[in-house]
Amino acid sequence: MRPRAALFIASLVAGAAGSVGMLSCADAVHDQEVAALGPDVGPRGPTHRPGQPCLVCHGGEGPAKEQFSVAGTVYEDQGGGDAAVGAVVLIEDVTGRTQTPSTNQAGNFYVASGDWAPNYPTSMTVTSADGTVQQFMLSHVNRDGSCASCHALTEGPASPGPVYVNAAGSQGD
Amino acid sequence: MFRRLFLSLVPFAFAGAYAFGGCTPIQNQTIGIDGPPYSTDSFKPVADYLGNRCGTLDCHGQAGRNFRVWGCQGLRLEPDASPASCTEQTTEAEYEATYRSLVGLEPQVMSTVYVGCASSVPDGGGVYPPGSSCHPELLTFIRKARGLESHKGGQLICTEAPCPPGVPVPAPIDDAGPPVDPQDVCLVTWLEGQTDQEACQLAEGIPNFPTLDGGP
Repeated sequence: MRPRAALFIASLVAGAAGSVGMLSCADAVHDQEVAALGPDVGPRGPTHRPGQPCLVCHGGEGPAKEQFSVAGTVYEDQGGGDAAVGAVVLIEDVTGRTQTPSTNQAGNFYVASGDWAPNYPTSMTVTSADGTVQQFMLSHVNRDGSCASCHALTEGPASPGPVYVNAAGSQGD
Repeated sequence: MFRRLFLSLVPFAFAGAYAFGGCTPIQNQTIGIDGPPYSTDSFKPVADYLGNRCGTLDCHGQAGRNFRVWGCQGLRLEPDASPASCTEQTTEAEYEATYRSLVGLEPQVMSTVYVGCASSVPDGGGVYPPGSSCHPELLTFIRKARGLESHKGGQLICTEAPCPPGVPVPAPIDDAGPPVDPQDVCLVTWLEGQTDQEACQLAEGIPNFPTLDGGP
């Protein structure tokens, strides 16, 4: 075999091995989490996918380019699906550093990873746009920046349900 | 010929009899773990601390975790109970479930640690720091909390300064005695079978958020 041909074959083999190696590095669990979110409905951007765990895609493992440290969705009235627009979310980490993002038209809020990375645990409150109602989160957050990882759309033994500004029968508990 | 056949079958007969003897029915038996005995008085303060510190829904308040913590601040045992609200307090069944989860996490190690720790204390109160026969650090959950082993939740207990940001620096309990982390005192004295309830109550106040909780 001529030296140039041998070099070409060796390159092909090395390339194929590298491709297999790349594939084996894919995180199947993460891929399944992304797939479980289903197709995106409506325009992409800050108002998309309300109520879903934002950091599944925006947590650094992709596929979204923008990375968030904390993100979620706030709804207006308990049991309803209307977004709480202009609500202020106070996030405080255990060292006392705070962020106060506001919710947009979809009720979504987010903090970019490049702007702030909390020292977990964190504590959170939500205040209505007019400042009259405030909800305190009873437990703290130990490590998950996606509100919807715990605050699923359906309430159950492992989820308190969505975050509402006007929770039934209380102004913070 | 019959004699030879008989002699050749004798070993098989013995083997069969031996095997038959080994197949005696297995009795239903409880496999014991030597752990701190369960009682509401001794474990509730520990469980309340664990529920607050570790049992949030994004950590050990998840059914899929090896170490599962149930309680009103996180995962509920009853399907219709409200999680993470404490409008319904932690139930006795949830305290017991958390106890079983913790004690059964590493049964053999738990037995070794408990026997060593319980034998090192007199009745009437736990000893901290523990006696020479008490080695709580053999338990994974202690090592993870102390930051001696990789833990996604990071180091939670600091027995000696310098401490990571947000983890309380050891201080005397009641402004007396040596500087300690009440979280460690709570867990170690429980492993000794003499839960320090005051330490557990202090531990339940951790973490403390400077703005929202008013500071340490």
